Amino acid sequence: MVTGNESSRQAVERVLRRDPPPRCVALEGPDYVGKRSFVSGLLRSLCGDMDFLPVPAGIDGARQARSFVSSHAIFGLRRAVLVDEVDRLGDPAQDAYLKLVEECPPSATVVFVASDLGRLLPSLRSRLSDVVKWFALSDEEVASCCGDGDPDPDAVRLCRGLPGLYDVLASSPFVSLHEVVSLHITGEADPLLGDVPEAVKNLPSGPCRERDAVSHVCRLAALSFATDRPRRRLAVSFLRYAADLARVPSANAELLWRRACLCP
Amino acid sequence: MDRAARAEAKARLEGEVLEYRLPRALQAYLDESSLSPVLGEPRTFLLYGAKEVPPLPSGKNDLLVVVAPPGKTKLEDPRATRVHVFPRFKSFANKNDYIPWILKEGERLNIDLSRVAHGLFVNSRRSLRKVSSEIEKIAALSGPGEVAPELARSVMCFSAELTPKDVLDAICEGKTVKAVVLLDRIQRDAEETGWILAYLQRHVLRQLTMERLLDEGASSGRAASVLGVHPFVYRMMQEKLTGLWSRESLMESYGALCDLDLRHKTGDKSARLGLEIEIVRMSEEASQNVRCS
Repeated sequence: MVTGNESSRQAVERVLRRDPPPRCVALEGPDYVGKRSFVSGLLRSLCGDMDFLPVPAGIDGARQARSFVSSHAIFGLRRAVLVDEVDRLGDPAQDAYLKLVEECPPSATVVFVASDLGRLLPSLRSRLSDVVKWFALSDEEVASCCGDGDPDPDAVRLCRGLPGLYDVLASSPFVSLHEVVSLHITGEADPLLGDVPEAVKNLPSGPCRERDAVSHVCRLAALSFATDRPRRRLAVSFLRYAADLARVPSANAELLWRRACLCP
Repeated sequence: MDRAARAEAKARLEGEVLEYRLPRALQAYLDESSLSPVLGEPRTFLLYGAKEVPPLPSGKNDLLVVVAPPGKTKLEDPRATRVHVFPRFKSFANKNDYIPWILKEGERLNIDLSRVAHGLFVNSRRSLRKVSSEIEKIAALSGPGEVAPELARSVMCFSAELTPKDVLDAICEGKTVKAVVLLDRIQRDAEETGWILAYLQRHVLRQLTMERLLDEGASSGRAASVLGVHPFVYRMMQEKLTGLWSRESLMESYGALCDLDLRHKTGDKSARLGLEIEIVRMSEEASQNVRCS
């Protein structure tokens, strides 16, 4: 269920229902606010399961997409392809999608989902016919889309408008992670002999929600000390940790954690 | 040695083999060897316990095999076409701390290593890390109780393959050239920068923790417990690494290694060069501190 961003959802629907359909549409906004979930559901309802294809990001995905859009729709009048996290692709993969967009037939639509379109190649960015922006939700909106039962107030607070992270953040290791980061920044925790938090210790390698959640929580905790001069150095160290964790999915979270704590 | 001498004699496949134990049978050898063989058939003379090489037999197809007596370290003769050297086996029983440690490790894992402890010691070349990993493999494969040599032999690693441990050992010894050469050799067959970086990161972190514990006056037992190693391993391997690098240097190293790791994982080829620079830096510093101490 997707809530919030009412105007953005209406805008996406308006764009995708247009006749003739747009060739290339982009949804831009923070991760975990429901962009992909919403547009997947909408495209399935517009095109049908057989004429909608979410492709994996990468050059292989571009090849699949080209092959898919070059054939006629089976049930409906058009075909649609969804590409998630297009801004995280390297230049060769983005070139492949540029070719896809340029050679896309009029009856097909390519939908890109990204958190920052500024990372796209200028040539690809210029081919976007419509860009719809999405925003983080309010705490009330996050609480309302948490399903049955009372929402966990700590998890809602930690989500900071990203409902996609609620399930992960509702578990206790993440609530204590925020406190541990704060203790390290204030110098109340031992950087060498202190235990590595549970949420960091069991973090799998590779892109995953848990990794994004740890990065998000560490960033939140560090930002709360950003204006505190004596503690700014350690706060920056943890901000760098959060950024590295998200930027390099294969990096060892525990070893980087120690670096953040030691702040060399 | 006797077995090797007989094998040498058997390798000729033909002719008779005559054995003499010196010095008692020296005259009998001299008498026999001075006679030429009737039909020119080859003869092999085996002399046991000879302190020097006597006159050679007269037959041109004869072979003389001389076995030195026990305790004689050298037996040379310029006429010898082949020399076999048998090194003296070390006594493992006296003043060997490794064997009791191996047996205790086995007790901890509920296996009896009494029949394979010496083999493990000989194979490991005193590397406790290697012994420890071999013991864990043996424990995983065998049930509780005595471990048979056949089982141990089947799982022990006899290869001389290089690992980042060898590079790390060279760094800790302050042997920069050796460390760089080993680094090149490891990287020759495959890109192992990530593997080596991971080892070094963990080593530096361990060093920082150890220095910190020593500053606090922690006992060896407590330090071993915090580092997650056996107290014996801590005493024999970790403690002697104290003071090789300053606290600031270790912090700098750790930051640099983490950065290199991130660069390597994002495809930056200069990470390999950065790794070599860091290895040289650490090794040079260790070398200076080793000389000072």
